[in-house]
Amino acid sequence: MNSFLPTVYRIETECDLAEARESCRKVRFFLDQLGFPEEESSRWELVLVEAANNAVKYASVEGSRLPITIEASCIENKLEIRIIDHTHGFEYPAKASLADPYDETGRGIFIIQTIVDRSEYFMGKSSNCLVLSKTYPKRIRQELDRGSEADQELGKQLFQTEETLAAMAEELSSCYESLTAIFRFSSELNVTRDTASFAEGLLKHLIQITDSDWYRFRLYDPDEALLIILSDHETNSNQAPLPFPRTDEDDLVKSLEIDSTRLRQDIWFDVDKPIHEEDSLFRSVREQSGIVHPFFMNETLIGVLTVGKNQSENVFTAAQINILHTFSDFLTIHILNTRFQEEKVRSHVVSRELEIATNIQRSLLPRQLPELSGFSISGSCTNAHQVGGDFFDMIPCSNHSALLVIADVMGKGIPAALFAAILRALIRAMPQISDSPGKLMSWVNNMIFDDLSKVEMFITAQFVFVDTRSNYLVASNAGHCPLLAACANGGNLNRITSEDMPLGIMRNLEYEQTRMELNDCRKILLYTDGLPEAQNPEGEFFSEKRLQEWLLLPTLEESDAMALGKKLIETIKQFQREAMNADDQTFLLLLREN
Amino acid sequence: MRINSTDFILIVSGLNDLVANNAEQVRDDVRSALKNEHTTIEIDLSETGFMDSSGLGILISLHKTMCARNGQIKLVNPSPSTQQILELTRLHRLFEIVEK
Repeated sequence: MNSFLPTVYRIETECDLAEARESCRKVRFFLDQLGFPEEESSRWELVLVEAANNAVKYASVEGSRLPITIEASCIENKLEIRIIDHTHGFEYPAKASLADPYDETGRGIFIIQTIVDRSEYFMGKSSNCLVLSKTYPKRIRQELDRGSEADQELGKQLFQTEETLAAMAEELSSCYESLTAIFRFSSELNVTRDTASFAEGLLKHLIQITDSDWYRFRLYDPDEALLIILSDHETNSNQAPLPFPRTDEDDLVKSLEIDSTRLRQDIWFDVDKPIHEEDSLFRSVREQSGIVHPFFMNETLIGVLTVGKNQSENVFTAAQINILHTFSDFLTIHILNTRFQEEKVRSHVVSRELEIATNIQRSLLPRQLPELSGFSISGSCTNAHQVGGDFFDMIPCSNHSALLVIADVMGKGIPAALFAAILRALIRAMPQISDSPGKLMSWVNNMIFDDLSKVEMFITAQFVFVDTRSNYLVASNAGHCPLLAACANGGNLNRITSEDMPLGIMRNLEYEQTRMELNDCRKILLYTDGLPEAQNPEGEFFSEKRLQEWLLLPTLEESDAMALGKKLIETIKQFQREAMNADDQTFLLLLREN
Repeated sequence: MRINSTDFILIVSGLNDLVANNAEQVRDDVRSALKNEHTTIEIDLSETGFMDSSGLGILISLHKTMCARNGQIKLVNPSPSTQQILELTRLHRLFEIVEK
């Protein structure tokens, strides 16, 4: 009759070279019994002795009083051995190089790494764990005859091994729990869930798995340079954000969270190294121990996680620290994913907003300008960016008179477009006073003042009533560019401006009205500041002077306002060359017909 | 461990283990048995069932001692496991290994 041998072996040995050597011999014996070939057992014995020697030689003062644990488990064709030491730990090389032939020391890790397939070293606070494994092409023989000599010895070991199994099962289940939690949260990644509640769920699992009592998780806000609490296990604790010091010298803030992010490494606290009373992590329970773990994505600080225990003897094991690191890596990825998604949504919203604003603005501009006897009229609005606050309008009052409006709403996007829409509606609501632009302007200002001042916006505008039969115009100006009127070829240039304030600055303003006889006036130009402020690559402005000069240029007899408007746009473009428009360019141009 | 001596050769044999917890003792015993006339140390590894990197360390240390006095060290009949670690760490190239 055959019996199955235990495939797990655990032994604790005193921190002593001779004792450690003896324990390694026992592990080797266990491997022999499992059916490992002589040569392979011998290699593993060497690996174990090297690892155990290091655990003894470098044990800390307290650690030298604690046992070194060796656990071997063989499942199917894989052997895994763990050596748990109580040293201060060390930087375990990914691939150790071979020592110089004349060096008397420094070959241990090279030997270990040469023999095993895989080796990893996990550092904990009071213990560290070296995990070694090797996979074989065939399943290791696990059965022996009951009658073999070794059977009795192994029978004794069975009892010990069962206990070991229970301990390992517990550890395995904790790993299983963490894995389950990770998988559960992975599947929830697709569910819309805010980062705070996501982190809270994850961290509650973490403190359960790591047998901790509390946690605090702060997220770094680079804009404000603050470490903001995203999730805290204790809701009644100090929840104020931590200002992140701008310079390294500024160490006035007593905070392990800040220190860990600056040092870019974990910081431990316990009874011997307690949290400072001024530290926001400080709590009245005396027996505190825990770890502050900052986490980064590449070089960028993401946040800092603190996990604590209320009993100092309940220290973190290497495995628990490993889980904590895995969880924070996972959290980092989720936070970054969320940020990218938010950024994507935000940019989508912005472009949608701009689209809406552009539509509104476009709808405000007259598709076709009404006719005015004796003059041809053209209007143009070129936006510097997707949408601006410029707009123009022309409201016919009779077949020989009209109200011309040009305005610039200070602001961008939907708010600017909406105010332009309101302004347009208000102007059209009072046709009875269209011939008194000053009066209309005062009324519009009072109507729109409250709304504009609420959002700290204002509008510059120019209202001009033109009567071509009586041959005059009346202009009012609310902080806008002047009106330019050029007389017949070679004649004078008239410029109408005022000191009056833009709409939305002050209530109950009276706007000045300037009357000008048109006489032989040939061209009238209403424009926004984008025209004189058009810049060439050298940074030179087109300027009002150039605008005036252009207006005074002789005009061909057959020209109409449309052709002349195109010429103006062309002239400015030629001046700007490849330079981009910094501001909107809008104008209304009237040209007297021959 | 046995240490015998001929005119010029110090012969070390009967080493069961050459490991961390006895290596320094072995080195000290060999050094104290070493006389001026000894030009060679022969270390018989045929009975050495197990040697670790600390054991290697003292072999290197004795090798350096002998080189300093223009002498030499020979490893005699290494057992399979000691041969294994010598090859693993390429030190079989450093020592003269003798099969008798």
